[in-house]
Amino acid sequence: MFTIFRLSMNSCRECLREPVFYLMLLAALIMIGLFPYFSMFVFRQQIRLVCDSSMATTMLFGLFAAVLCSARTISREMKNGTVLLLMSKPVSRFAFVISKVCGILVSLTIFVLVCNAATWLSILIAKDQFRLSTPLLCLYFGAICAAALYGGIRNFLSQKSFSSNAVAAMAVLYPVIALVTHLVRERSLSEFLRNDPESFMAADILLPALCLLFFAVWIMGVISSALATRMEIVGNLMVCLILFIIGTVLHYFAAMMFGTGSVGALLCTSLVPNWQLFWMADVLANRIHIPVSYFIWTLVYSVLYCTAWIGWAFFLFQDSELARDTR
Amino acid sequence: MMIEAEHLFKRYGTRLVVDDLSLRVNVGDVLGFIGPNGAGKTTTMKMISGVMPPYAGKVRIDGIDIEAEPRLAKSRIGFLPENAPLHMTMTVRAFLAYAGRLHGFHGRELARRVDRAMERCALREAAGQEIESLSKGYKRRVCLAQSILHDPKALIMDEPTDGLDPNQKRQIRELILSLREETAVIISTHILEEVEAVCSRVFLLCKGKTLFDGAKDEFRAKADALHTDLAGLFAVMTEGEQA
Repeated sequence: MFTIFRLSMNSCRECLREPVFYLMLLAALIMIGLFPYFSMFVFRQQIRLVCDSSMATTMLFGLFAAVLCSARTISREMKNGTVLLLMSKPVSRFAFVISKVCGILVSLTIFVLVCNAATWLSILIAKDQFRLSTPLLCLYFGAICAAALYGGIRNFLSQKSFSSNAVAAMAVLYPVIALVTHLVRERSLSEFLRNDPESFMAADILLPALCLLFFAVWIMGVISSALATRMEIVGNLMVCLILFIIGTVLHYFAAMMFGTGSVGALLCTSLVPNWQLFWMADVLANRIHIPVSYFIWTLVYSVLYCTAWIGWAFFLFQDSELARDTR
Repeated sequence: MMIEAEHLFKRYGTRLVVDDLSLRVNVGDVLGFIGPNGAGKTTTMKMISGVMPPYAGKVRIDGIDIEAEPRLAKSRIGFLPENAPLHMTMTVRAFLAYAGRLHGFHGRELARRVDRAMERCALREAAGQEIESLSKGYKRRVCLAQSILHDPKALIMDEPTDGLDPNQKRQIRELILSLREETAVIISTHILEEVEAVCSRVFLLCKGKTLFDGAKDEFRAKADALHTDLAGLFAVMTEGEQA
Protein backbone atom coordinates (compact mmCIF):
# COMPACT_ATOMS: atom_id res chain seq x y z
CA MET A 1 0.00 0.00 0.00
CA PHE A 2 2.82 2.34 0.95
CA THR A 3 4.62 1.48 -2.31
CA ILE A 4 1.49 2.30 -4.31
CA PHE A 5 1.21 5.63 -2.48
CA ARG A 6 4.88 6.44 -3.21
CA LEU A 7 4.56 5.51 -6.86
CA SER A 8 1.29 7.42 -7.22
CA MET A 9 2.78 10.57 -5.74
CA ASN A 10 5.74 10.25 -8.06
CA SER A 11 3.48 9.76 -11.10
CA CYS A 12 1.44 12.80 -10.10
CA ARG A 13 4.60 14.88 -9.69
CA GLU A 14 5.79 13.71 -13.11
CA CYS A 15 2.50 14.79 -14.68
CA LEU A 16 2.64 18.19 -13.03
CA ARG A 17 6.26 18.66 -14.07
CA GLU A 18 5.34 18.21 -17.72
CA PRO A 19 5.39 21.59 -19.48
CA VAL A 20 2.51 20.37 -21.66
CA PHE A 21 0.31 19.97 -18.57
CA TYR A 22 0.99 23.57 -17.59
CA LEU A 23 0.39 24.77 -21.15
CA MET A 24 -2.93 22.91 -21.37
CA LEU A 25 -4.06 24.39 -18.07
CA LEU A 26 -2.87 27.85 -19.07
CA ALA A 27 -4.69 27.68 -22.42
CA ALA A 28 -7.88 26.47 -20.70
CA LEU A 29 -7.71 29.28 -18.12
CA ILE A 30 -7.09 31.96 -20.74
CA MET A 31 -10.04 30.70 -22.78
CA ILE A 32 -12.34 30.52 -19.76
CA GLY A 33 -11.22 34.00 -18.74
CA LEU A 34 -12.00 35.41 -22.18
CA PHE A 35 -15.48 33.92 -22.52
CA PRO A 36 -17.11 36.86 -20.68
CA TYR A 37 -15.67 39.13 -23.40
CA PHE A 38 -17.02 36.93 -26.19
CA SER A 39 -20.41 36.79 -24.50
CA MET A 40 -20.82 40.55 -24.87
CA PHE A 41 -21.59 39.95 -28.53
CA VAL A 42 -24.79 38.10 -27.72
CA PHE A 43 -28.18 39.36 -26.59
CA ARG A 44 -29.18 37.88 -23.23
CA GLN A 45 -28.17 34.42 -22.06
CA GLN A 46 -24.70 35.80 -21.38
CA ILE A 47 -24.16 33.66 -18.28
CA ARG A 48 -25.38 30.58 -20.12
CA LEU A 49 -22.84 31.11 -22.87
CA VAL A 50 -19.99 31.62 -20.39
CA CYS A 51 -21.08 28.61 -18.37
CA ASP A 52 -21.51 26.26 -21.36
CA SER A 53 -18.28 27.36 -23.01
CA SER A 54 -16.27 27.09 -19.80
CA MET A 55 -17.62 23.61 -19.03
CA ALA A 56 -16.93 22.47 -22.59
CA THR A 57 -13.38 23.85 -22.33
CA THR A 58 -12.82 22.01 -19.06
CA MET A 59 -14.14 18.77 -20.53
CA LEU A 60 -12.20 18.94 -23.80
CA PHE A 61 -8.96 20.20 -22.32
CA GLY A 62 -9.37 17.65 -19.52
CA LEU A 63 -9.65 14.95 -22.16
CA PHE A 64 -6.47 16.13 -23.88
CA ALA A 65 -4.68 16.52 -20.55
CA ALA A 66 -5.70 12.95 -19.63
CA VAL A 67 -4.25 11.54 -22.85
CA LEU A 68 -1.07 13.60 -22.64
CA CYS A 69 -0.50 12.74 -18.97
CA SER A 70 -0.94 9.03 -19.53
CA ALA A 71 1.13 9.05 -22.70
CA ARG A 72 3.95 10.93 -21.00
CA THR A 73 3.97 8.94 -17.77
CA ILE A 74 3.08 5.45 -19.02
CA SER A 75 4.00 5.00 -22.70
CA ARG A 76 7.19 7.03 -22.42
CA GLU A 77 8.22 5.19 -19.27
CA MET A 78 7.61 1.88 -21.01
CA LYS A 79 9.44 3.00 -24.11
CA ASN A 80 12.54 4.57 -22.60
CA GLY A 81 13.07 1.87 -19.99
CA THR A 82 12.47 3.64 -16.66
CA VAL A 83 9.76 1.04 -16.13
CA LEU A 84 12.58 -1.53 -15.90
CA LEU A 85 13.96 0.25 -12.86
CA LEU A 86 10.57 0.10 -11.16
CA MET A 87 9.79 -3.47 -12.15
CA SER A 88 13.17 -4.69 -10.92
CA LYS A 89 12.30 -3.35 -7.46
CA PRO A 90 9.85 -5.15 -5.16
CA VAL A 91 6.94 -3.65 -7.13
CA SER A 92 4.27 -5.80 -8.77
CA ARG A 93 2.79 -5.04 -12.17
CA PHE A 94 -0.56 -4.51 -10.47
CA ALA A 95 0.96 -1.92 -8.12
CA PHE A 96 2.58 -0.22 -11.09
CA VAL A 97 -0.70 0.06 -13.03
CA ILE A 98 -2.76 1.17 -10.03
CA SER A 99 -0.21 3.76 -8.95
CA LYS A 100 0.13 5.20 -12.44
CA VAL A 101 -3.64 5.50 -12.78
CA CYS A 102 -3.97 7.06 -9.31
CA GLY A 103 -1.17 9.54 -10.02
CA ILE A 104 -2.78 10.56 -13.30
CA LEU A 105 -6.20 10.90 -11.64
CA VAL A 106 -4.79 13.15 -8.91
CA SER A 107 -3.18 15.45 -11.48
CA LEU A 108 -6.40 15.51 -13.52
CA THR A 109 -8.34 16.35 -10.38
CA ILE A 110 -6.08 19.37 -9.89
CA PHE A 111 -6.65 20.30 -13.54
CA VAL A 112 -10.44 20.18 -13.28
CA LEU A 113 -10.44 21.86 -9.85
CA VAL A 114 -8.57 24.88 -11.23
CA CYS A 115 -10.79 25.01 -14.35
CA ASN A 116 -13.95 24.76 -12.26
CA ALA A 117 -12.82 27.56 -9.95
CA ALA A 118 -12.00 29.59 -13.06
CA THR A 119 -15.49 28.88 -14.44
CA TRP A 120 -17.07 30.23 -11.28
CA LEU A 121 -14.93 33.38 -11.47
CA SER A 122 -15.69 33.75 -15.17
CA ILE A 123 -19.44 33.69 -14.45
CA LEU A 124 -18.95 36.42 -11.86
CA ILE A 125 -16.87 38.46 -14.33
CA ALA A 126 -19.72 38.34 -16.84
CA LYS A 127 -21.84 40.73 -14.79
CA ASP A 128 -24.58 41.31 -17.32
CA GLN A 129 -24.88 41.66 -21.06
CA PHE A 130 -23.31 45.16 -21.19
CA ARG A 131 -20.69 45.08 -18.45
CA LEU A 132 -17.80 43.04 -17.13
CA SER A 133 -16.49 43.04 -13.60
CA THR A 134 -13.12 44.64 -14.35
CA PRO A 135 -11.57 44.25 -10.85
CA LEU A 136 -12.38 40.55 -10.87
CA LEU A 137 -11.11 40.22 -14.43
CA CYS A 138 -7.80 41.76 -13.33
CA LEU A 139 -7.70 39.40 -10.36
CA TYR A 140 -8.37 36.45 -12.68
CA PHE A 141 -5.54 37.17 -15.10
CA GLY A 142 -3.34 38.47 -12.28
CA ALA A 143 -3.55 35.01 -10.73
CA ILE A 144 -2.13 33.48 -13.93
CA CYS A 145 0.75 35.97 -13.87
CA ALA A 146 1.35 35.45 -10.15
CA ALA A 147 1.47 31.66 -10.63
CA ALA A 148 3.94 32.03 -13.50
CA LEU A 149 6.03 34.41 -11.43
CA TYR A 150 6.08 32.00 -8.49
CA GLY A 151 7.10 29.13 -10.78
CA GLY A 152 9.80 31.30 -12.34
CA ILE A 153 11.23 32.39 -9.00
CA ARG A 154 11.28 28.81 -7.66
CA ASN A 155 12.93 27.67 -10.86
CA PHE A 156 15.53 30.43 -10.78
CA LEU A 157 16.40 30.23 -7.10
CA SER A 158 16.07 26.51 -6.31
CA GLN A 159 16.14 24.85 -9.75
CA LYS A 160 12.67 23.44 -9.05
CA SER A 161 10.36 22.62 -11.93
CA PHE A 162 8.66 25.73 -13.30
CA SER A 163 5.60 23.82 -14.48
CA SER A 164 4.82 22.00 -11.25
CA ASN A 165 5.30 25.12 -9.13
CA ALA A 166 3.19 27.28 -11.42
CA VAL A 167 0.44 24.63 -11.46
CA ALA A 168 0.63 24.33 -7.66
CA ALA A 169 0.25 28.10 -7.35
CA MET A 170 -2.78 28.03 -9.67
CA ALA A 171 -4.26 25.14 -7.70
CA VAL A 172 -4.13 27.30 -4.57
CA LEU A 173 -4.92 30.72 -6.03
CA TYR A 174 -8.00 29.95 -8.14
CA PRO A 175 -10.02 27.99 -5.57
CA VAL A 176 -9.12 30.54 -2.87
CA ILE A 177 -10.12 33.51 -5.04
CA ALA A 178 -13.33 31.71 -6.07
CA LEU A 179 -14.18 30.93 -2.46
CA VAL A 180 -13.44 34.43 -1.22
CA THR A 181 -15.46 36.09 -4.01
CA HIS A 182 -18.31 33.69 -3.35
CA LEU A 183 -18.36 34.58 0.35
CA VAL A 184 -18.09 38.31 -0.36
CA ARG A 185 -20.91 38.05 -2.90
CA GLU A 186 -23.11 35.95 -0.60
CA ARG A 187 -22.82 38.54 2.13
CA SER A 188 -23.38 41.39 -0.36
CA LEU A 189 -20.18 43.01 0.81
CA SER A 190 -19.15 44.24 -2.58
CA GLU A 191 -21.11 45.88 -5.36
CA PHE A 192 -18.84 44.75 -8.16
CA LEU A 193 -19.54 41.07 -7.49
CA ARG A 194 -23.31 41.35 -7.86
CA ASN A 195 -24.83 39.89 -10.97
CA ASP A 196 -27.94 40.89 -12.80
CA PRO A 197 -30.80 39.00 -11.03
CA GLU A 198 -31.82 37.55 -14.40
CA SER A 199 -28.48 35.93 -14.95
CA PHE A 200 -27.91 34.94 -11.35
CA MET A 201 -26.33 31.48 -11.07
CA ALA A 202 -26.61 30.04 -7.57
CA ALA A 203 -23.60 28.08 -6.36
CA ASP A 204 -25.74 25.16 -5.23
CA ILE A 205 -26.95 24.73 -8.82
CA LEU A 206 -23.61 25.23 -10.47
CA LEU A 207 -21.34 23.22 -8.16
CA PRO A 208 -22.89 19.75 -8.69
CA ALA A 209 -22.74 20.31 -12.46
CA LEU A 210 -19.08 21.25 -12.22
CA CYS A 211 -18.37 18.26 -9.97
CA LEU A 212 -19.76 15.93 -12.65
CA LEU A 213 -16.93 17.09 -14.91
CA PHE A 214 -14.47 15.46 -12.50
CA PHE A 215 -16.09 12.10 -13.18
CA ALA A 216 -15.94 12.56 -16.96
CA VAL A 217 -12.26 13.49 -16.92
CA TRP A 218 -11.44 10.65 -14.49
CA ILE A 219 -13.06 8.14 -16.84
CA MET A 220 -11.10 9.54 -19.76
CA GLY A 221 -7.92 9.44 -17.64
CA VAL A 222 -8.40 5.75 -16.83
CA ILE A 223 -9.24 4.87 -20.45
CA SER A 224 -6.19 6.68 -21.79
CA SER A 225 -4.00 5.10 -19.08
CA ALA A 226 -5.15 1.64 -20.13
CA LEU A 227 -4.50 2.43 -23.78
CA ALA A 228 -1.10 3.95 -22.95
CA THR A 229 0.14 0.51 -21.90
CA ARG A 230 -0.01 -0.50 -25.56
CA MET A 231 -0.27 2.69 -27.61
CA GLU A 232 1.78 5.74 -28.38
CA ILE A 233 0.38 9.23 -27.89
CA VAL A 234 -1.17 9.69 -31.37
CA GLY A 235 -2.98 6.34 -31.35
CA ASN A 236 -4.12 6.92 -27.80
CA LEU A 237 -5.45 10.37 -28.63
CA MET A 238 -7.27 9.10 -31.70
CA VAL A 239 -8.98 6.25 -29.83
CA CYS A 240 -9.94 8.55 -26.96
CA LEU A 241 -11.38 11.13 -29.35
CA ILE A 242 -13.36 8.43 -31.16
CA LEU A 243 -14.65 7.14 -27.82
CA PHE A 244 -15.57 10.68 -26.86
CA ILE A 245 -17.49 11.33 -30.07
CA ILE A 246 -19.19 7.93 -30.08
CA GLY A 247 -19.97 8.20 -26.35
CA THR A 248 -21.60 11.57 -26.91
CA VAL A 249 -24.06 10.37 -29.58
CA LEU A 250 -24.30 6.60 -29.24
CA HIS A 251 -26.80 6.57 -26.42
CA TYR A 252 -29.16 8.82 -28.30
CA PHE A 253 -29.13 6.50 -31.30
CA ALA A 254 -29.20 3.39 -29.08
CA ALA A 255 -32.31 4.71 -27.33
CA MET A 256 -33.88 5.42 -30.72
CA MET A 257 -33.04 1.96 -32.06
CA PHE A 258 -33.60 -0.24 -29.01
CA GLY A 259 -35.82 1.96 -26.83
CA THR A 260 -34.92 3.78 -23.63
CA GLY A 261 -33.89 1.41 -20.83
CA SER A 262 -33.74 -1.61 -23.14
CA VAL A 263 -30.96 -4.21 -22.96
CA GLY A 264 -29.42 -2.86 -26.18
CA ALA A 265 -29.29 0.69 -24.86
CA LEU A 266 -27.89 -0.58 -21.56
CA LEU A 267 -25.20 -2.53 -23.39
CA CYS A 268 -24.17 0.61 -25.27
CA THR A 269 -23.92 2.53 -21.98
CA SER A 270 -21.78 -0.24 -20.54
CA LEU A 271 -19.39 -0.46 -23.48
CA VAL A 272 -18.87 3.22 -24.28
CA PRO A 273 -19.09 5.86 -21.57
CA ASN A 274 -22.14 8.06 -21.85
CA TRP A 275 -20.63 11.55 -21.70
CA GLN A 276 -24.10 13.10 -21.72
CA LEU A 277 -24.48 11.94 -18.13
CA PHE A 278 -21.86 14.46 -17.08
CA TRP A 279 -23.02 17.32 -19.26
CA MET A 280 -25.52 19.45 -17.35
CA ALA A 281 -25.66 22.57 -19.52
CA ASP A 282 -29.41 22.34 -20.11
CA VAL A 283 -30.07 21.80 -16.44
CA LEU A 284 -28.03 24.89 -15.60
CA ALA A 285 -29.77 26.94 -18.30
CA ASN A 286 -33.11 26.19 -16.63
CA ARG A 287 -31.67 26.76 -13.14
CA ILE A 288 -32.72 23.28 -12.01
CA HIS A 289 -31.12 21.61 -8.99
CA ILE A 290 -29.38 18.32 -9.78
CA PRO A 291 -30.88 15.67 -7.48
CA VAL A 292 -28.47 14.06 -5.01
CA SER A 293 -29.59 10.62 -6.20
CA TYR A 294 -28.52 11.48 -9.76
CA PHE A 295 -25.15 12.67 -8.48
CA ILE A 296 -24.61 9.45 -6.51
CA TRP A 297 -25.78 7.29 -9.39
CA THR A 298 -23.31 9.02 -11.74
CA LEU A 299 -20.53 8.58 -9.18
CA VAL A 300 -21.28 4.84 -8.95
CA TYR A 301 -21.34 4.60 -12.76
CA SER A 302 -17.97 6.37 -12.95
CA VAL A 303 -16.39 4.19 -10.27
CA LEU A 304 -17.63 1.00 -11.97
CA TYR A 305 -16.45 2.22 -15.33
CA CYS A 306 -13.02 3.21 -13.98
CA THR A 307 -12.67 -0.15 -12.20
CA ALA A 308 -13.46 -2.03 -15.41
CA TRP A 309 -10.86 -0.04 -17.35
CA ILE A 310 -8.24 -0.48 -14.60
CA GLY A 311 -8.83 -4.22 -15.06
CA TRP A 312 -8.25 -3.74 -18.79
CA ALA A 313 -5.13 -1.69 -18.09
CA PHE A 314 -3.74 -4.48 -15.92
CA PHE A 315 -4.61 -7.10 -18.53
CA LEU A 316 -2.97 -5.09 -21.33
CA PHE A 317 0.12 -4.35 -19.23
CA GLN A 318 0.53 -7.95 -18.06
CA ASP A 319 2.11 -9.22 -21.27
CA SER A 320 3.26 -5.98 -22.81
CA GLU A 321 6.88 -5.75 -23.84
CA LEU A 322 8.76 -3.33 -21.59
CA ALA A 323 11.44 -0.90 -22.71
CA ARG A 324 11.16 -1.54 -26.43
CA ASP A 325 13.65 1.22 -27.25
CA THR A 326 16.38 -0.29 -25.12
CA ARG A 327 16.48 -3.54 -27.03
CA MET B 1 23.61 -20.77 -5.40
CA MET B 2 22.72 -17.06 -5.62
CA ILE B 3 21.40 -16.87 -9.19
CA GLU B 4 19.92 -19.92 -10.87
CA ALA B 5 18.18 -19.97 -14.22
CA GLU B 6 16.88 -23.28 -15.51
CA HIS B 7 15.73 -24.02 -19.03
CA LEU B 8 14.61 -20.50 -19.87
CA PHE B 9 12.69 -19.94 -23.07
CA LYS B 10 11.33 -16.66 -24.41
CA ARG B 11 9.31 -15.94 -27.53
CA TYR B 12 8.39 -12.60 -29.13
CA GLY B 13 5.39 -13.66 -31.19
CA THR B 14 6.59 -16.69 -33.14
CA ARG B 15 10.28 -15.78 -32.84
CA LEU B 16 12.21 -17.77 -30.23
CA VAL B 17 14.77 -15.36 -28.74
CA VAL B 18 15.99 -17.42 -25.78
CA ASP B 19 16.27 -21.15 -26.32
CA ASP B 20 16.72 -23.43 -23.31
CA LEU B 21 19.16 -21.25 -21.38
CA SER B 22 20.45 -22.39 -18.00
CA LEU B 23 23.04 -20.67 -15.82
CA ARG B 24 24.25 -20.57 -12.24
CA VAL B 25 26.19 -17.79 -10.55
CA ASN B 26 27.45 -17.82 -6.98
CA VAL B 27 28.77 -15.11 -4.66
CA GLY B 28 32.29 -14.23 -5.73
CA ASP B 29 31.58 -14.92 -9.40
CA VAL B 30 31.45 -12.21 -12.01
CA LEU B 31 29.80 -13.73 -15.04
CA GLY B 32 30.47 -12.03 -18.36
CA PHE B 33 27.35 -12.51 -20.47
CA ILE B 34 28.50 -11.96 -24.02
CA GLY B 35 27.05 -12.33 -27.48
CA PRO B 36 26.50 -10.42 -30.70
CA ASN B 37 23.67 -7.91 -31.09
CA GLY B 38 20.27 -9.61 -31.02
CA ALA B 39 21.64 -12.68 -29.23
CA GLY B 40 19.03 -12.41 -26.46
CA LYS B 41 21.29 -10.96 -23.75
CA THR B 42 19.00 -8.11 -22.69
CA THR B 43 15.92 -10.35 -22.77
CA THR B 44 17.72 -12.85 -20.53
CA MET B 45 18.77 -10.06 -18.14
CA LYS B 46 15.15 -8.92 -17.94
CA MET B 47 13.95 -12.44 -17.19
CA ILE B 48 16.59 -13.03 -14.51
CA SER B 49 15.85 -9.69 -12.86
CA GLY B 50 12.11 -10.47 -12.74
CA VAL B 51 11.12 -7.64 -15.05
CA MET B 52 9.81 -9.98 -17.72
CA PRO B 53 8.33 -13.44 -17.17
CA PRO B 54 9.90 -16.29 -19.14
CA TYR B 55 7.81 -18.27 -21.60
CA ALA B 56 9.06 -21.37 -19.81
CA GLY B 57 11.69 -22.14 -17.20
CA LYS B 58 12.54 -21.07 -13.68
CA VAL B 59 14.64 -18.32 -12.13
CA ARG B 60 15.72 -18.50 -8.49
CA ILE B 61 17.50 -15.77 -6.56
CA ASP B 62 19.07 -16.96 -3.31
CA GLY B 63 16.85 -20.04 -3.61
CA ILE B 64 13.66 -17.98 -3.99
CA ASP B 65 11.53 -18.61 -7.08
CA ILE B 66 11.09 -15.22 -8.72
CA GLU B 67 7.66 -16.07 -10.12
CA ALA B 68 6.32 -17.55 -6.89
CA GLU B 69 7.67 -14.83 -4.58
CA PRO B 70 8.57 -11.87 -6.79
CA ARG B 71 8.75 -9.22 -4.05
CA LEU B 72 11.06 -11.27 -1.85
CA ALA B 73 13.27 -12.32 -4.76
CA LYS B 74 13.44 -8.80 -6.22
CA SER B 75 14.48 -7.37 -2.85
CA ARG B 76 17.73 -9.35 -3.32
CA ILE B 77 18.36 -8.10 -6.87
CA GLY B 78 20.13 -4.99 -8.06
CA PHE B 79 19.46 -4.27 -11.73
CA LEU B 80 21.27 -1.82 -13.96
CA PRO B 81 19.34 -1.63 -17.24
CA GLU B 82 20.91 -0.77 -20.57
CA ASN B 83 21.16 2.96 -21.46
CA ALA B 84 20.65 4.02 -17.82
CA PRO B 85 16.95 4.99 -18.01
CA LEU B 86 16.19 7.47 -15.22
CA HIS B 87 13.58 9.98 -14.13
CA MET B 88 15.27 12.98 -15.69
CA THR B 89 13.44 15.72 -13.81
CA MET B 90 14.50 14.42 -10.38
CA THR B 91 17.70 15.40 -8.60
CA VAL B 92 20.23 12.65 -7.94
CA ARG B 93 19.50 12.55 -4.21
CA ALA B 94 15.72 12.60 -4.74
CA PHE B 95 15.91 9.79 -7.26
CA LEU B 96 18.05 7.59 -5.01
CA ALA B 97 15.75 8.31 -2.07
CA TYR B 98 12.78 7.33 -4.24
CA ALA B 99 14.52 4.08 -5.23
CA GLY B 100 15.36 3.42 -1.57
CA ARG B 101 11.77 3.98 -0.46
CA LEU B 102 10.59 1.40 -2.99
CA HIS B 103 12.87 -1.05 -1.18
CA GLY B 104 11.19 -0.09 2.10
CA PHE B 105 13.88 2.13 3.64
CA HIS B 106 12.88 5.24 5.59
CA GLY B 107 14.34 7.98 7.74
CA ARG B 108 17.96 7.74 8.84
CA GLU B 109 18.47 4.33 7.30
CA LEU B 110 17.37 5.69 3.93
CA ALA B 111 19.62 8.77 4.24
CA ARG B 112 22.57 6.58 5.24
CA ARG B 113 22.08 4.26 2.28
CA VAL B 114 21.65 7.13 -0.18
CA ASP B 115 24.85 8.78 1.14
CA ARG B 116 26.78 5.52 0.94
CA ALA B 117 25.60 4.75 -2.59
CA MET B 118 26.56 8.27 -3.71
CA GLU B 119 29.93 7.87 -2.02
CA ARG B 120 30.63 4.54 -3.72
CA CYS B 121 29.65 5.86 -7.14
CA ALA B 122 31.40 9.23 -6.70
CA LEU B 123 28.18 11.20 -6.99
CA ARG B 124 28.51 13.55 -4.01
CA GLU B 125 29.17 16.68 -6.05
CA ALA B 126 26.12 16.01 -8.26
CA ALA B 127 23.71 15.22 -5.39
CA GLY B 128 21.54 18.31 -5.87
CA GLN B 129 21.62 18.40 -9.66
CA GLU B 130 18.76 17.39 -11.90
CA ILE B 131 19.57 14.11 -13.65
CA GLU B 132 18.76 15.63 -17.03
CA SER B 133 21.66 18.07 -16.66
CA LEU B 134 24.23 15.31 -15.96
CA SER B 135 26.71 13.82 -18.43
CA LYS B 136 26.23 10.31 -19.77
CA GLY B 137 28.85 8.95 -17.38
CA TYR B 138 27.18 10.52 -14.36
CA LYS B 139 23.77 9.21 -15.44
CA ARG B 140 25.18 5.71 -15.62
CA ARG B 141 26.68 6.11 -12.17
CA VAL B 142 23.30 7.27 -10.80
CA CYS B 143 21.73 4.17 -12.29
CA LEU B 144 24.47 2.04 -10.76
CA ALA B 145 23.97 3.73 -7.39
CA GLN B 146 20.26 2.83 -7.37
CA SER B 147 21.13 -0.79 -8.13
CA ILE B 148 23.52 -1.18 -5.16
CA LEU B 149 21.62 1.02 -2.70
CA HIS B 150 19.99 -1.93 -0.90
CA ASP B 151 23.11 -4.18 -0.83
CA PRO B 152 21.75 -6.74 -3.28
CA LYS B 153 22.92 -10.34 -3.23
CA ALA B 154 22.58 -10.57 -6.99
CA LEU B 155 23.69 -7.73 -9.23
CA ILE B 156 22.64 -7.79 -12.87
CA MET B 157 24.21 -5.19 -15.12
CA ASP B 158 23.39 -4.59 -18.76
CA GLU B 159 26.28 -2.82 -20.56
CA PRO B 160 27.54 -1.09 -17.37
CA THR B 161 30.43 0.82 -18.96
CA ASP B 162 28.88 1.62 -22.33
CA GLY B 163 29.64 5.23 -23.27
CA LEU B 164 31.97 5.96 -20.36
CA ASP B 165 35.42 7.52 -20.65
CA PRO B 166 38.48 5.37 -19.70
CA ASN B 167 38.68 6.81 -16.17
CA GLN B 168 35.01 6.22 -15.51
CA LYS B 169 35.29 2.68 -16.91
CA ARG B 170 38.17 1.97 -14.54
CA GLN B 171 36.18 3.32 -11.56
CA ILE B 172 33.12 1.22 -12.41
CA ARG B 173 35.26 -1.89 -12.87
CA GLU B 174 36.93 -1.32 -9.51
CA LEU B 175 33.51 -0.97 -7.95
CA ILE B 176 32.32 -4.22 -9.55
CA LEU B 177 35.40 -6.04 -8.28
CA SER B 178 34.82 -4.67 -4.77
CA LEU B 179 31.19 -5.80 -4.88
CA ARG B 180 31.86 -9.41 -5.85
CA GLU B 181 33.00 -10.27 -2.30
CA GLU B 182 29.36 -10.30 -1.17
CA THR B 183 27.46 -10.41 -4.44
CA ALA B 184 26.90 -12.62 -7.44
CA VAL B 185 27.39 -10.39 -10.48
CA ILE B 186 26.24 -10.83 -14.07
CA ILE B 187 27.52 -8.36 -16.64
CA SER B 188 25.93 -8.36 -20.05
CA THR B 189 28.30 -6.84 -22.56
CA HIS B 190 29.70 -7.09 -26.03
CA ILE B 191 32.97 -5.46 -24.98
CA LEU B 192 35.46 -8.31 -24.59
CA GLU B 193 37.95 -6.00 -22.90
CA GLU B 194 35.41 -5.78 -20.07
CA VAL B 195 35.29 -9.56 -19.75
CA GLU B 196 39.05 -9.65 -19.61
CA ALA B 197 39.15 -6.93 -16.93
CA VAL B 198 36.50 -8.00 -14.42
CA CYS B 199 34.90 -11.36 -15.17
CA SER B 200 35.78 -14.70 -13.67
CA ARG B 201 33.41 -16.64 -15.94
CA VAL B 202 32.15 -16.33 -19.49
CA PHE B 203 28.73 -17.16 -20.89
CA LEU B 204 28.47 -16.88 -24.68
CA LEU B 205 25.03 -16.61 -26.23
CA CYS B 206 24.10 -16.46 -29.90
CA LYS B 207 20.59 -16.49 -31.35
CA GLY B 208 19.29 -17.41 -27.90
CA LYS B 209 21.45 -20.55 -27.68
CA THR B 210 24.28 -21.19 -25.23
CA LEU B 211 27.61 -21.56 -27.03
CA PHE B 212 29.93 -21.48 -24.04
CA ASP B 213 29.57 -21.52 -20.25
CA GLY B 214 32.74 -21.79 -18.23
CA ALA B 215 35.69 -20.12 -16.54
CA LYS B 216 37.39 -17.21 -18.25
CA ASP B 217 40.65 -19.18 -18.29
CA GLU B 218 38.93 -22.00 -20.20
CA PHE B 219 37.63 -19.48 -22.73
CA ARG B 220 41.11 -17.99 -23.09
CA ALA B 221 42.62 -21.47 -23.43
CA LYS B 222 40.19 -22.17 -26.23
CA ALA B 223 41.30 -19.00 -27.96
CA ASP B 224 44.96 -19.94 -27.47
CA ALA B 225 44.31 -23.36 -29.01
CA LEU B 226 43.02 -21.63 -32.12
CA HIS B 227 46.00 -19.21 -32.06
CA THR B 228 43.74 -16.21 -31.72
CA ASP B 229 42.60 -13.74 -29.07
CA LEU B 230 39.20 -13.52 -27.33
CA ALA B 231 37.75 -11.39 -30.12
CA GLY B 232 38.90 -13.93 -32.68
CA LEU B 233 37.35 -16.82 -30.76
CA PHE B 234 34.14 -14.80 -30.31
CA ALA B 235 34.00 -14.25 -34.07
CA VAL B 236 34.70 -17.90 -34.90
CA MET B 237 32.03 -19.18 -32.51
CA THR B 238 29.29 -16.68 -33.24
CA GLU B 239 29.79 -16.31 -37.00
CA GLY B 240 29.70 -20.08 -37.35
CA GLU B 241 26.43 -20.16 -35.46
CA GLN B 242 24.95 -17.19 -37.31
CA ALA B 243 25.84 -18.74 -40.69
